[in-house]
Amino acid sequence: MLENSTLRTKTMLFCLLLTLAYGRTSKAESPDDILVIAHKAVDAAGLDRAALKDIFLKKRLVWKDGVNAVPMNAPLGTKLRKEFQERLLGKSENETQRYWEEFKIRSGGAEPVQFGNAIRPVFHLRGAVGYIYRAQYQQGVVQILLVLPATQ
Amino acid sequence: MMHCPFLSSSNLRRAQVCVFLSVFLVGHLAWAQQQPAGSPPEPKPEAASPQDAQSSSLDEQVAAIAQRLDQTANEAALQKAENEKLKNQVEELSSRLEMVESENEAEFSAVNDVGFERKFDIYGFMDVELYYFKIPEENTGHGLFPSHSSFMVNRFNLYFSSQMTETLSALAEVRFTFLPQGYEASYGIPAMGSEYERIDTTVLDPFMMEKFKTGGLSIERIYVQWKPLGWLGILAGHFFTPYGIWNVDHGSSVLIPVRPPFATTFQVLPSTQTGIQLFGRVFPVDRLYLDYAITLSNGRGPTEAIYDLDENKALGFRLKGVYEAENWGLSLGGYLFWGESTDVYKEMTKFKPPQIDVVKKESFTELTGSLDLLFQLYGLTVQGEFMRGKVQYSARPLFEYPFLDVENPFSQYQADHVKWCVYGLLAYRFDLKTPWGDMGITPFFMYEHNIFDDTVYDMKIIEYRGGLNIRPSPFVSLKYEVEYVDFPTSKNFTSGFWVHAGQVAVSF
Repeated sequence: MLENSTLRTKTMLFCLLLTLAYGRTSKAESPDDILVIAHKAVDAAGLDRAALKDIFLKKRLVWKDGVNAVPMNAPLGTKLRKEFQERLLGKSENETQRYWEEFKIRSGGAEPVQFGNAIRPVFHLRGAVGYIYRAQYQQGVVQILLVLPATQ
Repeated sequence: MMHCPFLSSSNLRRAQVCVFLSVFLVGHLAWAQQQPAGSPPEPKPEAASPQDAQSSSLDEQVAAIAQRLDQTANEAALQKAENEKLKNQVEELSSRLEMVESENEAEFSAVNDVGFERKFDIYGFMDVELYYFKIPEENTGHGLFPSHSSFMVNRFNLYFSSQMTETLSALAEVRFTFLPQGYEASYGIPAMGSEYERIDTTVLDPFMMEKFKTGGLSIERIYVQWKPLGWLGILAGHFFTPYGIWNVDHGSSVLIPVRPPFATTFQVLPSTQTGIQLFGRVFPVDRLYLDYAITLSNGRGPTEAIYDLDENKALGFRLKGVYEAENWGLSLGGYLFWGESTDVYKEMTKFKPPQIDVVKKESFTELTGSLDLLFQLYGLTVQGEFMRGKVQYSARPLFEYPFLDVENPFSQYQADHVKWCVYGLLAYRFDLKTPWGDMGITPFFMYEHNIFDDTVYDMKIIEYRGGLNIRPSPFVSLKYEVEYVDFPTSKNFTSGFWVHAGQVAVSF
């Protein structure tokens, strides 16, 4: 009987710790986290942060399965775009704009298309990849490739 | 949905207490009924009494009930998890349904644009220079270059970019120029009866009676491109030769100095070709990519953009590897070009019936290679290109004075020759935060060593350049540089000279 009671106490303690740990995890998720999202059919297995950066800079033009990658930007001047550029690309707004100006002159290419909320176009377009705030996320509509945590 | 009263832990606990108390009371009553009233308690027997046996039986019942309770609780937990899963699925499907149903919204129609249907852009760049050649009067260069400080609109390039489908696109880049106005077509050489001629494009508008000067237009590149795969694309048209760094990155808003090196402007390798190009990019590992290109074209020639004057097509092969880490990057590339260039003139030798003979005036075979390197670490840029080629004539033209485009009057012929050029650039970009926004300031130093023809003493040019490139905005570059140009083996350019140049370059 005593052993049962000890076991129960241990179980309760374990559950308590688990709850606390879960609580901490869920607290770390902020609505200001930026989620890099892609169409559900995109094969992004094994692609790391650097590869995603290349896709958003149009250096890498296809996914691993050969489908054309279609990066989408938030509109110029928005907080989301600015934060995304800093967190993933490591560039300021000014530097990114300079990059696209030079990109156009060098290659004749165009910078990525812009959407206020990328979740809808990413859902619809095969090969599409964009980014949104966690608060805009709708479960099951797109796949999350990377989470860029909100800066404290 | 099924409702389970045992779902909550408080209910479960309450049930356990109730069961325990019930069992305890029932047991106690049963024991009391078996005891005669008022009888004294009997001494404890050695063996297990009937009460002990009864108590043991009750414990077993309690354990069994507790086990059933646990089982019920487990089933309830499983049911709860299942319900949660179903709830998530319903939410997911609702979201997807909402997305599908919103197809008629304006935003979805914008999505169709992403499908690369008839996307068309016009943009470009321009620059304005102020330059000054400080050349001693006794130097040949004094008459060759403008003698006074001058403003000039040098580049006004417009891009027409169209993405017709996801894989098919076209690009045209057109340069508008005030030239040939002011071009010195020939120098006065009294001994040869040649007169000085400067192009004047002035025309008169017959209605307004207004005089104005016409300019020129140069198609820098125009091609259609089909790129079905990342590692394979094909383009056809008039394209930049995919060599080096600054031949393709030619826009003044992209270049760090005011003008590209002599090796590029003197076309040690042809700057453009007309033909087809296979190209692509592969990623052997993350952060590293390889670009390749194979070119087949008319090669060089006076009419190469329109027709070839020989049957030998020029071949070229480009390979470039780029490694990009978080704060640094390294790029190494090479290009090999092999082709024949021919020039002809035509004579009508018979009139009935008319016959036109084609006479080869000049023909040479060229094999030229180039190497390029670009290293970037934070704001530091180290860049260099090397080119080397051999030219062998099968039909030799008369030798022309370098830069003057005047044939040697003493019938000297052009010799087979080797050409090689190298340049190196060292630059560091400082990013400053100013009240007007972020600003990039890049001081640079550049060295060039060029031998355009190892048989001609005037064709060795060494240049030192230093300057500053300021980017007050992503669209604007302000540049200033000072150059010292030297012809160390020349008998005509008796001394080196200085050039000062400022530039405002804008992309729009």
